[in-house]
Amino acid sequence: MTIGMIGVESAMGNSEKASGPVILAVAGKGGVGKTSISATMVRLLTEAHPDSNILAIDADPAVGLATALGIDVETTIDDIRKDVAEGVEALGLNSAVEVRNEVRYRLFDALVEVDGFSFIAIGRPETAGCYCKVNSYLKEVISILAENFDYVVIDGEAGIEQINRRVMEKVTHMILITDGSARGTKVVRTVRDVADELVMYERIGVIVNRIPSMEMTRYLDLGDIEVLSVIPSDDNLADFDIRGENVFYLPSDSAVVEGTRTALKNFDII
Amino acid sequence: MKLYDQTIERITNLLNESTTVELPVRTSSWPDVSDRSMILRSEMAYELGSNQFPGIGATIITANEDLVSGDGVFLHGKDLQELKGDTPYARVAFVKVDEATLGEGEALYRTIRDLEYVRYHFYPEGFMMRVSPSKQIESVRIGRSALNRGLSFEITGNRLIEAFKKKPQVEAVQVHYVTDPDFDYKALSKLFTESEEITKTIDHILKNVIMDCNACSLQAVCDEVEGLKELHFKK
Repeated sequence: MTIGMIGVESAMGNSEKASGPVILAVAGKGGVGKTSISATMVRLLTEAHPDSNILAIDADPAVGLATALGIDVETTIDDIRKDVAEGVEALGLNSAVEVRNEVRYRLFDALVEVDGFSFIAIGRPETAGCYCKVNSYLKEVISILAENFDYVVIDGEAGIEQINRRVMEKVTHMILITDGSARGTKVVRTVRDVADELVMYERIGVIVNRIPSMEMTRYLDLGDIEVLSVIPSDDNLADFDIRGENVFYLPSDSAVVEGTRTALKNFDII
Repeated sequence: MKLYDQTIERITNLLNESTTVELPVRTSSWPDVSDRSMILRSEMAYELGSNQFPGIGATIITANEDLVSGDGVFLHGKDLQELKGDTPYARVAFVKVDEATLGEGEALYRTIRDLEYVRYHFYPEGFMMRVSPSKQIESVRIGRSALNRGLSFEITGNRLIEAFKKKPQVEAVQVHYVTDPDFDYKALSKLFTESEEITKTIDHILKNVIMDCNACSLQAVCDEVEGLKELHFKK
């Protein structure tokens, strides 16, 4: 196991940014702090790259990233999916090109553009019915949307398969989050195995969160996954979580902000 | 091909109620962007047609040279460089086609739709169209940097004429842009709906074998529009 406090030479650098967005997908077991860390990444990216276009994608049906970023969500991607798929005839759409443009038009209604970054929520997964065509257009327009940003942060559900199926097939950086539990580290290893099969990524690393003592790191079994940072339990964050506060107001020396900053530095992203 | 001629005349009369400026028709070297390019709010100067204001657009075809005698770009209201914020917006393209190339039946319907879909493949830099076919909305985000470099309706109008003329059936195009806040957008929208009803009726005729007009839900459209009944019974 490598504790990633030391800078890691990135193969990406600025040249990669010029050719496409840096897409960070965050995954891990439920309850390990994925959403807080994703939101903190968005904050740190806006601070480090104020002139860049940054997109936060909430791919968790619970839509927790919105709260952590102080965003009100009115329309999700799944709302568009349902409206368009269920109403193609009722909406009077005559062809594939009209469906595609309807989806594209509505995507802008779902995109929340605030100072510093933009936000979009995926919402709940589809239920019964075949939405294959609309799903494929949606995935296409999300990819097109992402291409117009310099940095994209995706806060995923516990698994990674859902990111591949519902959001996009290609990410540049996979960031796995675990706590100190054996179950958390096992999920991280499993997610990495699934990601190896399903998602095209360039780099992968893990953030170990909510560690009561640094001593515990010696017991973590993370295989050969690069450890980007280790974050101790953070009372500030617990307090913010309870009050549903926006992470932009967290003190910049709080553990979660410092730990996330270290991880992004280790990936040469900030 | 007189199907839309009455609608074109009505739209022309409505447009003539507002002050019209004819812009030069000339080749433009303004660049296009990729179909994957978007203008985000942070990069936008303003929006033509927005949540607050009407934004509508239509393409209507004719074979009548008296209605579209040659290419033209016409502006009713302020040009892009004069606008200071979000504004109401309408775009109409009257497209003169060579009747002999239109075909009949399904081919005719496909040609009409194909010309209408030109707007979905139109990407001048700094001019991002957003179209909701279901809500009949056509709005445009204007990019700040393109505006600073001189984007105007003369440029977009000429680029649109060029886009239409890539289609072999097209002989001439007249593009009208409306930004006049006092213009009757509601009346224009009704006329756009009328045009869409005609196209839908053509599709209905092709898909249905009902030959009894009294039993058809679209009888009113056929009674109103010259040429539709001919088209049906010739089918």
